[in-house]
Amino acid sequence: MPLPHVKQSQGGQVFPNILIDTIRDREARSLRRFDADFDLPDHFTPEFPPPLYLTTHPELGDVSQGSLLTIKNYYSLMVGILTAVQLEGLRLLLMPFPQEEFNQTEDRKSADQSLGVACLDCHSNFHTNAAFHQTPDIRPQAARFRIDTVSLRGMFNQRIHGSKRSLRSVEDFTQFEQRTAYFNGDHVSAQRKGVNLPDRTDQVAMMGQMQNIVDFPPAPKLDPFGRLDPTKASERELAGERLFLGKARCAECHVPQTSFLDNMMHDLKLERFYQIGQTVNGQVMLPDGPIKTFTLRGIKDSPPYLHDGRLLTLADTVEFFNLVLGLKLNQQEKDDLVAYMLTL
Amino acid sequence: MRRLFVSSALMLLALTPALAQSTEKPHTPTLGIGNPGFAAPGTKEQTPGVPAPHLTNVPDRVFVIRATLGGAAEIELARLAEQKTRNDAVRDFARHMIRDHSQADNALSRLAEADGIPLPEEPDAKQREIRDGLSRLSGPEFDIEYLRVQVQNHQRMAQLMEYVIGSGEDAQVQGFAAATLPTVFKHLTMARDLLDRVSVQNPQVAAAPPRTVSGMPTPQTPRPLAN
Repeated sequence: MPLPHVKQSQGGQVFPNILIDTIRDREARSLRRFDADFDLPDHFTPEFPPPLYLTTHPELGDVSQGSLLTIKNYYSLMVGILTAVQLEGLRLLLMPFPQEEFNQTEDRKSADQSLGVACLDCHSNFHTNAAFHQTPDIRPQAARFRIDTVSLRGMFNQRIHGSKRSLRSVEDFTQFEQRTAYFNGDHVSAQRKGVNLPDRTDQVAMMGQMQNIVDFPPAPKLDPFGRLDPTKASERELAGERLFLGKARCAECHVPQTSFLDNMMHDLKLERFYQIGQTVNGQVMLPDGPIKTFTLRGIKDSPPYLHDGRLLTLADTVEFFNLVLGLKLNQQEKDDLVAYMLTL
Repeated sequence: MRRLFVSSALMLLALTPALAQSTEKPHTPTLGIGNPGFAAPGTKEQTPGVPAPHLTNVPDRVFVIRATLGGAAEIELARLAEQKTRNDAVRDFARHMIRDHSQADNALSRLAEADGIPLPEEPDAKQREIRDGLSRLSGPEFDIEYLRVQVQNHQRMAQLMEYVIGSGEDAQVQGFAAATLPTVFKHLTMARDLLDRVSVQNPQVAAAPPRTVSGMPTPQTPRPLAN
């Protein structure tokens, strides 16, 4: 069943404590809400701060130098390895702007008037810190599902963006997120609270330029075709790959050659497994409908899984698809699949 | 038809305890219910951040009023269908509607009284128009139009319930909606399936241009015409 937001009636962005603490220390900006707290234990969230890999500098490895990129430190960290355009894009991605819950009006969920939220507050170091909000694309409020932050690694290979919106480019997404993730698809509330509307031909293009050079983490056992190199992979991992391509049917959507995605949205018809219409924690359980196939490159680094984070570990994910697709995998096969996915 | 009987009985059983739970016992707000995202300044609180019982906001009142009107209309149309239809499945469906909606109506009127929401006495103009339009039809035409109206009404009711679950303030009203919504979806499925079946049995009627009653031009699932 879908995993509800911690406060369905309000929704909005909820940040993990480690991020709130780090941003408060570095920028003196508070991202704590007075009405909702993060719900997942730390061991189900990604490593923080996440490493950052650039396609333009594969020789350097992780360029974050162990720090969270913020508006205060990005320049000294990145000048010299980014172009001026990319640096400006990064600045805009790190700049806080008013958001539905974090703004300067009386209608806010932060104790004090807030400078707002930056894009990379959820997408820390262009990855994810498991912050979540609600899909902006659905009404009424009770029907909106929870959205786990997606990693921005590998944007360069993705043709559609957004779990349900199917935006065609990361530039479209960047331009539009100000009205969607920030303001729940309500351009009226956005206008009232001071939405930032980045200029499409200038600012958005630069933000897109920066996002398009973020690489997946290294996967030394994969060859250029996305297949395991038998000289480097273990027997269990190779067995997992055989299942991935065969009995487990994963590769029918998560195609290795195209970054383990197919640039499509699919409806798993999960409503076969639960009764629709029941209310759990304020969210009405409804069919999910078609959702975008997510890349599996670097998947070990971004728990929890699925668009709403309902699957906490890779083993859960394997079991989930085992049930949904009716695969009848045995325990060894499931373990092999997890071993394989850890190599991606 | 036998399956319809069995599933009706099961649904009735499923409905009764759910309704009983939400209205007979003092309602402890479950997580997410009675926890509105926004409350007007000065709202009386039972604990900090939780509105006192029986305080309603606009979504609560809109829901209770429209659900009462809708429920009454359902019962009226179902009685009409029970008399007029010559199709056994449609008659069973109508009886099912009368049973379920009578129960829901009782629970709802008690809620409205507890919350002090004034209810309309008469069905509104649109509902009267639909009732009059349906009463002028007969045979398969009536069945198909009646079922189309049922599909529309249950879609609207599902949306209204989701609306109050997400935006309401009174935990009792939200609890009622949460408990009743699965049944609304079941009714919607029943109505759609029955509409498909009756349309297949009467393809010429189903494919006729939109009627003034429902305004729906085609059956839910397109079928090839038998010429």
